Amino acid sequence: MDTFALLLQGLSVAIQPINLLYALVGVTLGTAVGVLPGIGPATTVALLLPVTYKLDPAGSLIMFAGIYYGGMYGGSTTSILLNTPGESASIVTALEGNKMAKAGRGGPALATAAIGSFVAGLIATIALAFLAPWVVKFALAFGPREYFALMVLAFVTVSAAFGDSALRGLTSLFIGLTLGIIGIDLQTGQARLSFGIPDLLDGVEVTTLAVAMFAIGETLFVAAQGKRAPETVEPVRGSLWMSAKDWARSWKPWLRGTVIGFPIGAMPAGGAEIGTFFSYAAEKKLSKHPEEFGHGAIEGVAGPEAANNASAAGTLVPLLTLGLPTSATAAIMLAGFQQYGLQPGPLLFTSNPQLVWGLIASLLIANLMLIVLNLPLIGLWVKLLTIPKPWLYAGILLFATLGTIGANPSVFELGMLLAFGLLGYGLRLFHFPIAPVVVGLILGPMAEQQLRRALAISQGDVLVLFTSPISATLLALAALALIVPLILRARGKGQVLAAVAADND
Amino acid sequence: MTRKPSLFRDLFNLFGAANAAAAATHESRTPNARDLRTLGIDPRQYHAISR
Repeated sequence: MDTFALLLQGLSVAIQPINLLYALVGVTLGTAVGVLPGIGPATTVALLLPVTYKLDPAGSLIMFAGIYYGGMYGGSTTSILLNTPGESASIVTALEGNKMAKAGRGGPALATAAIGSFVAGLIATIALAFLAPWVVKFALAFGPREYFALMVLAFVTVSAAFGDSALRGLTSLFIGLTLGIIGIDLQTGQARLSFGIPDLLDGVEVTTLAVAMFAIGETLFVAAQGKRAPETVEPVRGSLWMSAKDWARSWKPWLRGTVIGFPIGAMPAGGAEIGTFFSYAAEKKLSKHPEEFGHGAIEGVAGPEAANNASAAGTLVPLLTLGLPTSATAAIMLAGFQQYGLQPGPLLFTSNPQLVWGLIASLLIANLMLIVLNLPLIGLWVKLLTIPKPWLYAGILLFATLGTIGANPSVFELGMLLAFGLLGYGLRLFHFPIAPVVVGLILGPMAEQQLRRALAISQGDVLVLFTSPISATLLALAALALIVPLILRARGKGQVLAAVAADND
Repeated sequence: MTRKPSLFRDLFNLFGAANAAAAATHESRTPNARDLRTLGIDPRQYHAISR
């Protein structure tokens, strides 16, 4: 069946009333968390993991994807009206967007952000639909050694390229890999790192760790930052609509933002933020009015907003086709798939096409819902900011705890949730990334299984990992992903030292 | 001695700066001024964004 027919089949799943409801709940929640500074889609999806495990898998995953897309939309509202980004991917939007709002052009800034997000989301989702079958076709040739190499690539990119210290990233990864070892080894029946505690024989629940790290640890970290400066909302004066000149200045940045954001999102350890910074720099370089940048240039809102939405769709390419998470939210979504016993990857497209294509098609619908929800209801979203922060943080902690206990009614599980929550807080406090911990726990046991299979086939010959062109290429890419950021950082340090020396001269 | 302009080098530097700035935002830190300037962002304006 060709992609178009599969997409139509997916649409028939996505337009089922229950799935439309899940998508609506997802985009509404996503927009709300996007608006609220300090809470992101990763935290929200993590919070919902334990409470959705008894729901329909397709519906839950549609809701999670809606939260991801909604978070990207919602983040721009507070960036523009408050100069306080709701999401780290909307920081760049604040640079020009808030200047526009202060100059009485908040309406066009919000409009170009919303329409740009819609255009980018639409194009990127269609690109995802057409690209995914190609990647799947390629990935179907993968054997154990290729899968192992792919996971090594995921480990290195998520840990070494996330954050600005490879050592910190790898430390986080090894915490996750160690947690992944806990429990009974399925091949030998040997208990590993369980210290005689029966509750540890089943291993560490991914859901518990994800909720602890992203909901409890993150919330404690944000709450510990103390009170923020009082926020002043810039009123939206004049028309919300864009003038012909605004349209003329926005459409190219929307398209460029999409072209920049989509591949960066799909890249291991890309993340939406890189695309937004890159898009801002590109727009400033290509603009006919570079002098307006820093004073409210509409291109500086249109490009980065398109880039962050395209990046969200880009992230779904490696997640759905290879089971490779390239962002924190994608790592939590992977845990979401696994709680239903589903493993994203090429086989999911053949074993569960209705779910995958229903999910992809629902993104198109979610995108449409978001533009309808966002622009006319801006006043309502801004009102969310009046919720007292202590209520919000206490609510998240309570919801996380109740959800985990509901899914796993055990005192030991609650203890693990709190212990991992404190670990997550400690990691955030000392600038250790937390996504590699979750990725290590999810992919570690799978990588071990694939390595054992590859070695069993080759009768213990390690060189088998390098004799397949695909696995050799993936391992070479992993080496590059480790070395290139080190070179970039070393170059950066060299330039800083040179600048300091020049200042001292 | 001034270096010849090179599109590849510019892109490499731009991507490096975008990567470093994104990493800093992930860790709730302010990106360093040199990276922001490479990206065409005025560091003072960036500092004015409340987080």
